[in-house]
Amino acid sequence: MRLLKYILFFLFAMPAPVLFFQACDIVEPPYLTGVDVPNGGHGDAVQRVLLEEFTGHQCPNCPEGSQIARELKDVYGDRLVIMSIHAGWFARTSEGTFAYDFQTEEGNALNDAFGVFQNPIGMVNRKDFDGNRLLGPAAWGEAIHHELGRQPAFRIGTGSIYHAGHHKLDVHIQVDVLLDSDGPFYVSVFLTEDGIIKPQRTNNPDYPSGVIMEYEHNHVLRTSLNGTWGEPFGNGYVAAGQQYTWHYSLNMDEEWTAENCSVIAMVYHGEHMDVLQVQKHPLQP
Amino acid sequence: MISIKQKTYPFLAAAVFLAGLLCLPAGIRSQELLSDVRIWGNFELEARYYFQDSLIGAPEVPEKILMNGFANVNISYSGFTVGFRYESYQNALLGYDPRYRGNGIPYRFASYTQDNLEITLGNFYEQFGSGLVFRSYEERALGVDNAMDGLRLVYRPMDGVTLRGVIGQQRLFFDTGPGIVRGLDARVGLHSVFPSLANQTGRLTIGGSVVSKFQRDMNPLFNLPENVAAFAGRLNYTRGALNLSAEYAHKINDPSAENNFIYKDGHALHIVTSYAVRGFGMLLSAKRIDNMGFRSDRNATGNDLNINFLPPTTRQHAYSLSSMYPYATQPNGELGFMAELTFSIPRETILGGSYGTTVTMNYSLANSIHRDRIHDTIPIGQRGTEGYRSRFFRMGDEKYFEDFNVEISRRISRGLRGLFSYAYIAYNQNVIEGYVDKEMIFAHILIADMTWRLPERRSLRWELQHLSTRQDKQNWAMAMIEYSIAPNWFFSISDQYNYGNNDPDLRNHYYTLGAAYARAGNRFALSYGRQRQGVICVGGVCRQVPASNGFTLHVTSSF
Repeated sequence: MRLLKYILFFLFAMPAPVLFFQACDIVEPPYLTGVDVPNGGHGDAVQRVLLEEFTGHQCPNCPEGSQIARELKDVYGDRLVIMSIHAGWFARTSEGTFAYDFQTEEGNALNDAFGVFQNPIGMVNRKDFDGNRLLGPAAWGEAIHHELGRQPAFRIGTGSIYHAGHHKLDVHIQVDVLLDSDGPFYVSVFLTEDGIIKPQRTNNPDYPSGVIMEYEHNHVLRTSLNGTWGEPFGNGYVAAGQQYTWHYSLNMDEEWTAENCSVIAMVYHGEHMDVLQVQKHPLQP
Repeated sequence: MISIKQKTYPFLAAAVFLAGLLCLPAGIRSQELLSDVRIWGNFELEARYYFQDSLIGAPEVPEKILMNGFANVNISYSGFTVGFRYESYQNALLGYDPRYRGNGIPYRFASYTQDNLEITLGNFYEQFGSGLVFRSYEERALGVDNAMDGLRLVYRPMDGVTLRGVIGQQRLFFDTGPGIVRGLDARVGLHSVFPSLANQTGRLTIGGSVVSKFQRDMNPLFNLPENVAAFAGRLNYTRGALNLSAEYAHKINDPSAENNFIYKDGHALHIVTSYAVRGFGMLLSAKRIDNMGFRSDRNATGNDLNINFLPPTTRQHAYSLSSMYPYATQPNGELGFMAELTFSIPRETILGGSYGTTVTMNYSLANSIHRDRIHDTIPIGQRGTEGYRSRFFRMGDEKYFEDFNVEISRRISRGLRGLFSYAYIAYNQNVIEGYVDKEMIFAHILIADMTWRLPERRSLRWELQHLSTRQDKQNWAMAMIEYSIAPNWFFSISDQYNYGNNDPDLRNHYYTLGAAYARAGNRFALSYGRQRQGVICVGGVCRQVPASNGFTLHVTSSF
C-alpha cells in the first residue's frame, strides 16, 4: 500500500514542474517590438489619447516618468496628447533652487479630485483600467495602445489668434458628434507650455547633486480657458451630425512664451469621467 | 488585454457562505448544532484627529479625522469553516495608501477538511518554503495585504508528505490584480517516508515549489512574456541543537517596472543555520538576491501585488531610535549576511551578578551584488536588454546597510530588571530610500531600558535612548516612562528630541502622552502627541510614515 502511494505521488507530483516549465514564455531577442499603431479612425477623424502626467520639480523619480512619456510620444506622434500637471507635495516650492512655482489652481483641483497619492503617476483618458485610474509610467503604454483602438465618437476642431501686443489669446473650439452617445458631456480647454528650463530633482546617478539645473519641462499645464471641469453640452444626449462651438479669450501671463504654448481641448463624459476625444493645438504652428 | 473589471459583491458572497453553513446541518437539532459551532474573531479601530503642525511638517488633513478599522468573523462546524473580514477606511490614516478607501469585505473564504485533504475557496494566505517564490500574507502595520482570491488545496497523502496547490488573483486594495497566480509545492520529510531513516537522530526534509503567473501582454514597446514561472528547491536538516535550512530559487525572464524591463533571469539563495543549547545560541544566515522581484502585475510598484517575499538578513530593532534607520530588502540585487550570538553568564559570578546576565551580539551586512555590462555600449540595467551580467559569489562595491549591536539583559535586584544596548548602523539612504544626493548615515545608538516591579501588580518602566550621527538630522535623545497597573491600566509619557539638528529651527520635540485600559478581551487606548516623519519596516518591507500631530484612539477586541 505504501509503495502504491509512492508511485501515485511521483506520478502526479513530479510532472507538475515540467508542465509549468513548458508553459513559460522565454523571450528571445530582439525584445523591442515594432509598434503597430491602432487605426481608431472614423472617416477623416482619428482617435487621440490624453496622458495626464502628475509630476513635481522636487520629485526625483519624475524625470524617468517623463522619459517614458517622451518615448511614447515618439511612437504615437500627435495621436498622443500629454499634459504635465505639477501638483501635490513634490510640486511644492522652497527657497533657493525650487522657488519657481509650477502649480496651478486647476492642477491642484485635478490632483485632489483624482486622489493622486504618488509621483510620477498618470491617467490615460482618465479611464479606469483594471480598477486603477491612476497608472504608473510602466502601464501608460498598454493603456494608450488600448485607447487608440477606439472608434472616435467626436471630432474636435481648434483655431486660435494670439494678439502679441496685448498677450491676449482668442480660441475657437468646434466639436462634431460622430456617434449617437449618452452623456452628460463636457468640453474642457487648457493651455500648456513646452520648453521651460528650470531645476528638477532626479535620482539619475549622472547628477550626483540630485538636481538637473537646466531641465526642460514640457507639456506644463498653465491654466484653463473654461475652468477645471469645463462646461457641459448636449443635454445628456448627442446625436451624430450635431455640432457645437465655443469661443474663449485668455489674457496670458507675460512670463509665458506664446510660441511654446498649446491649447488642449478635450471632450469627456461627466459621470464616469472618461476622456472621449482630445486635440492639441500649438499656438505657433 | 486591458478590461474594466466587473464589480464583485463580496458582502453577498460572505452572506451566502454563512447561509450555506446554517443550511448544512439540516435535520440536526438546533442545540446540537450550536454546541458544535465555534465562532471567533477580532475587531480593531484606529482613529486619529490631526492638527496641522508646520514645525514638524505635519500637513493639514482636510477630513480632520481619519480612521482604519476592521473586524474578522470566523465560524467553524465539523471540519467546515467560513469567515470574512470587513474593512473600513474613512479615509485611510496618513501613511497608508489612500487607495484603501471606503468599506468592503475584501477577505472571505470557506474551507473544508476531510481525510487529509483541505480545500479553501475564496481568500487565503499561504507560503511556500521561506517565501522566495510565493508568500501571500497580511501585515497590517504596513498596509500590505496580498491575499489570494481563488482556490487552495492541501493534501497529506502519507505521513511526512504535504502537497499544496494554489490558484487565483491577488488582492489589490478592494479589487484584485490583473495577473493569475498558479503554484504547487511539495514537502517531504524523509525520516517519515523511509522507515530506514526513522531511527536516525538527524531529520532531513526536502521541498520544491513552482509558481507561475499569467498576465496578457499589451505593451506597445516590448515583447513581454505572458507566462512567467519561478522554481525553488529547499532542504531543512535538524540534528539535536543544530538546524540548517537552505533554499534556492530561479525565475525566468520577467521584465517589469521594478527591474526597469530587463530580461535577465532572477536568482535567490537563502541559508540559515542555528545552534541552540541552554545558555548558548548562535545563528548564521546569508542570502543572495539577483533580480527576484516577482509580482502578479508587471507594472506594479511599491508594496503592491508581490507574489514572493525575500526574507531579511538584518535584525529588526524594536526601540524607537534604533529603528530610525531600518533596512528595506532590495529585490533587484543584494548580498547579505547576519551572525548572532547569544550567551548567558551564570548567576553568582562577577560578570553574571546575583541573577545571571544574558548577552546578545548581532552583526549584519547588506551589500550590492557584482554587475557587469552585457556590452560596452549598453549601460547596466538598460531597458529592453538582458540588463547586466553578475558573478554569483562576487560582492559588489556598494554597501547598503551594516549593523553591529550588543544587548545585555540583566536582573539587577529582585524587583529591578535592566536591558542595555548599543548599536552601530550604517545606512545607505540613496539606495534604501531612492535618492542620489544623500550621504551615507553612520549612527551610534545607546539604549537603557529599566523595569521596576512594584507591589500590587504595578510596575514602572523607563527608557533612555540616544542616537548620535553627523548625517541626516544629527543627534536625538529620547526618554519614556510607563506606569502600569496590571491587568487593566497603562500610562505612558515620552519625548524624542532632535536636539542636535544643525538647523536650530528644526530642533523639535516629538512628545506623546497616552493611557490605555484593558478588560477581558477589550482594550481602549487614547494618546496625544507628535509623530516624526520616517520609515517603518517589517521583515524588510517598508512604508513611509509622514509627520503628524494629534489624538489617537485605538480600540481592539477579540472574541
